[in-house]
Amino acid sequence: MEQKQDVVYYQAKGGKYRWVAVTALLLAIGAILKMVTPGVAGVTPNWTIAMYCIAINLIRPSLSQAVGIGLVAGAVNIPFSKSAFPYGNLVSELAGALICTLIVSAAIDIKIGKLNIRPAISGFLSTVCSGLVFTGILKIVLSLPLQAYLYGMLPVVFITGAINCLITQLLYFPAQRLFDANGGH
Amino acid sequence: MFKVAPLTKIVFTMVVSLWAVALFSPLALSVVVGVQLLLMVLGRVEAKTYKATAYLALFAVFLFLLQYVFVPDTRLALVTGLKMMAMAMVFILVLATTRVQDLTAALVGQCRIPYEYAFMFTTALRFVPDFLSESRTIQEAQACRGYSTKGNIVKRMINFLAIVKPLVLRAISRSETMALSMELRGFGSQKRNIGSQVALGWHDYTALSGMVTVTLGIFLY
Amino acid sequence: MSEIVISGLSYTYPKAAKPSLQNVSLKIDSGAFAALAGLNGSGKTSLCLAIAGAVPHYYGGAMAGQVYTGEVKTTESGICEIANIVGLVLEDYESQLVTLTVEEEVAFGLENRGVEQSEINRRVKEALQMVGLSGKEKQQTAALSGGQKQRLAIASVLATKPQILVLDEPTSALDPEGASELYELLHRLNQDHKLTILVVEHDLSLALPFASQFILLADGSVEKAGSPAEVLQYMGSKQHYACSLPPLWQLKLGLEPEFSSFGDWKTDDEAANELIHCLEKLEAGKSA
Repeated sequence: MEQKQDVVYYQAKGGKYRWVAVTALLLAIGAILKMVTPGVAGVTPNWTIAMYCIAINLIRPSLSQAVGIGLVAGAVNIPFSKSAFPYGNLVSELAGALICTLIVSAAIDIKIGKLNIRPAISGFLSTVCSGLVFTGILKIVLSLPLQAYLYGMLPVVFITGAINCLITQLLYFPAQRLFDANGGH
Repeated sequence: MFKVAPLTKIVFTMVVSLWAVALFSPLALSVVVGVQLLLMVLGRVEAKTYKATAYLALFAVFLFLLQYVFVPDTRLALVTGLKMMAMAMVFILVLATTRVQDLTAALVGQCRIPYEYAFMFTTALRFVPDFLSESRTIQEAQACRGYSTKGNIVKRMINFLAIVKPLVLRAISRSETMALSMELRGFGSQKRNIGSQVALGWHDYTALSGMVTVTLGIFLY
Repeated sequence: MSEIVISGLSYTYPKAAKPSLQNVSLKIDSGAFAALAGLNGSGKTSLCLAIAGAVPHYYGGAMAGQVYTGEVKTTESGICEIANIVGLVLEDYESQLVTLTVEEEVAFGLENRGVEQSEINRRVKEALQMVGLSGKEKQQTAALSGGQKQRLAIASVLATKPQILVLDEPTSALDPEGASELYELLHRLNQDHKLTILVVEHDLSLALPFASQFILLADGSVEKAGSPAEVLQYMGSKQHYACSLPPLWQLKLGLEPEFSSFGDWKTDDEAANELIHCLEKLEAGKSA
């Protein structure tokens, strides 16, 4: 049986749809965390946004993929949440996913010293952007008073943004190490 | 009503949202809410649908109060609460009477949404129960190791991340298996047949023309 | 005709320092029931992936030698075409299940291949029947038990009518009862539907009653392959496999130096019969 064979190097052709799989699974996690998170002083992270930010940081999608991811993210919570305005969620997550993708694909380095803080920045801006869009739509559609918007909603948007900033940064790196360990059984 | 195609129901959610945005009369908005409630009864939805609707109603009351505190105008506050109710309820109604897969099939087949995204959506839904039980297991395990959800906000959050992190990491490693299995099963091939979908029938055209009429009525009025 | 022929297969993952498979040559006959054993890291999973074409197509990397499944050379065929010949059920079978309901799961691979709806319906029914999940078509995937999910994963790869079924550590997440039920199922698929089966198994005693061939991998190479008896005999002679040996064979190999040699036991009953017979003879000898 001993025979010398020529070694052939193959290009990995797999993983064409890994971005679909990763995003689907992370969005599922976002949806369950939304259900099980203990409310901390009334402020909870927006897990859905945090999860698609991690997904987008991992997979670096194109803008057209980002549109799809944002819409799916907005839709995933519809069957579970008691969202006040599902169509608002579709639009706001679309905005969040686009912002995140723009930051992720920006050619500039986003670092403090040696620390890459791109995940944190993308997590913060996506959450704030998505929050502003959602509350903005809500304000107009439900004709909420300006004071309620300024003092009730905006602070929540920014606090959630800060929490998400932290979560995205903390979870991204362990996730990324595992994501890149392709085929390392 | 419930023989209408999924596509018609998707249009219905949009149209109802549009009505809710356009209408400013508490009476008209109550009618929109009332009709939806009637459709739920006619559609013999499960008890949990009413429970979800009750939650919404509670939230509508909260919105009413919020609005009233800032602007003490009962009529305006009522409109706000009812608008929210009308818009959110339609999703509960449609999801209680239609399978999610049929809705996505309509979106892919009739609205030309790329299949990848419909797949992403239903697959996410498929894994929700699995991850829910997984999160409970992890939570119990971490509780045994002395993680608690007490302490200040930052501490509690970081402790909670001890539950989230393993979930996320498992999802990442699962994604590899899933992506491989998707390719083995021919995902992404151009040959894919779009699956069975409900073509629009006379029910649908009746329903759709009804919706158009009401919409025109609202805007002309 | 040999269903799976592997010759001189060596393979290294793209970022790996050392090869996962080294000069593996194997034949698995059509209709065989083969069990693949070996310590952790011996290359069992890589070998499964190579038979299904995921190695090298999906992962890339350096490969030498050939894998033939049926008439098809895996390196010259697409991963999806190979799936028409080889059904692969991975260890984490739950991640293979991607749809909301049972019937959609089985139909998924067929829909992607553009099979006609009436044919899909027929095959879904057939595949579910083969694994004993008939009547659960409309059930939510998430509501199934672990064992049922695994059967669903099997049904979903059987839908494309492969001749070969490869399962990677299918019993690692099952309780003993579930594990033996799974083997009953695999035995049925092997006997009634003439499927060639290759199963990676830590606990060889599960595979022993059904397997026609054992393969022992070590450090990416075939250490021993042949009939179950040959391989178990070999494992018995090696100290480090002592724990991997089925209890039945530990008993047999332990007793044989004291008594005569026994048959190649596959089940407890066979062993019990022979031992009773042997004891009776001893008793008879004493009383004589």
